[in-house]
Amino acid sequence: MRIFDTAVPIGANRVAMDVGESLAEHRARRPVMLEPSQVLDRVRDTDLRGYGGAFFPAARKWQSAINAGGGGIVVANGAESEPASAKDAALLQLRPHLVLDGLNATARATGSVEGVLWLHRGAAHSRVAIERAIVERRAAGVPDIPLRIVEGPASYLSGESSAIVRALSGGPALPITRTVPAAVRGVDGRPTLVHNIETIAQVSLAASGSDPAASRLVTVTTSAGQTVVETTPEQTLASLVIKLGEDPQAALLGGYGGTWHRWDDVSGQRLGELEQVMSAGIIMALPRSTCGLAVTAQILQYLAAASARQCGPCLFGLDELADVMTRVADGRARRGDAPRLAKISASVSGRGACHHPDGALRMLGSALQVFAADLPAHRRRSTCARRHDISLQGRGAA
Amino acid sequence: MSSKAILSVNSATCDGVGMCALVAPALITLDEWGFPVINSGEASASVKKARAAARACPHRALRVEP
Repeated sequence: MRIFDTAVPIGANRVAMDVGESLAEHRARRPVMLEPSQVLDRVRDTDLRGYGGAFFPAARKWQSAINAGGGGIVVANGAESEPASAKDAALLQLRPHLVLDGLNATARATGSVEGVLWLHRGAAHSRVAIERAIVERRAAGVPDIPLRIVEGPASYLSGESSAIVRALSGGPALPITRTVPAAVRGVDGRPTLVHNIETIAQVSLAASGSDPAASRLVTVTTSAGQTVVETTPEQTLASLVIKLGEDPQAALLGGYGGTWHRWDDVSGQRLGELEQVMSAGIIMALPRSTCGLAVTAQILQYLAAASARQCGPCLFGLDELADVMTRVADGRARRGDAPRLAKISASVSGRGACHHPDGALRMLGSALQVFAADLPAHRRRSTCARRHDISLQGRGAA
Repeated sequence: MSSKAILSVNSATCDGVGMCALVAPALITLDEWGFPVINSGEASASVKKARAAARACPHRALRVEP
């Protein structure tokens, strides 16, 4: 059972397609709905895992919330902070009832009594689509649990689950080191299940009898723009990217905190093998005409600016890594910059309250390997012949 | 006194004041920005020092377990 019939092009700040599926269309396409007691079994049997990139088994989170006595909250996390991802916006805007059914099925299966849709502030298109769907469901008498739409700051880290739990408890939307899982003690001490929007949508599919492993949403960024595509595990990366008109030199998989790969190394691999590497299903194809070191420097600048500025090593370390890498990409590297990158990386690694700095280091480390051959051309006050005047593609779809 | 104590820093709370490293230099060194790095393996050897370092922190960013 497919979610989207075609690839979904992402336009300027929104999904560039018509309005979302209506309740009648949704019910016609997915008529079966299991009983709440069967949904947990189904989610466990199909080994549904978190699609936000952590791949944590959903059934284990659910069991923790149930064991903690239920009565908690289900948070559908629609704060899609990664600029190279738009799949959650596509689901919210085009398949709102799939998301709302999934949220309700999750709540009923776990004894949760309240739902929250967590969005970035200003995510107007997603908000309107869901609000419209809620009105439709009320009119049709769908017995949904109470749902609040809450907007957090439009910052990179406000989609991190500990930041969401903290914000919903009245604190700042910043990550924190948790000692007890949110599923046990989360918002105001109540069991709290924070799930990525695609995970919630997959609960809905699982509850209507299909296998969540059968398809996966990915966001592909090429020089032509961003596209959300529903893929199968058997498909190769090449078949996906070439169909979108790109013949890249390298690919950044897993988003800004992911890893660079030489195109020839990964293009023949099947998406099923790359699942963990793609994290939240993120593929950025780097055109042959663009300098990978320059893109890496820009992404580092972005990630340094996105630091929650809570932890010293992240705050100071990422800033300096971004500065050094920008010098390297611009052909202004100083003596000692190369060992400096290694030294700062070692100082920052594993020392944040969240994994934000570790993602930045991973991305940088892979870039220095994949683009190693380009480094000599950036010495002696010059750069390689590829383009350096780039603006990062894609700002997601709010 | 337990010999399995673990000293850890909550890096979100830590402000890099550096008192901990003054109190327990064998356990804690400061990185180039002044933030503490725990010398793993040392804490169990001197639980007393670890506790003293934790007490010295004005932000209560250090934790000794158990």
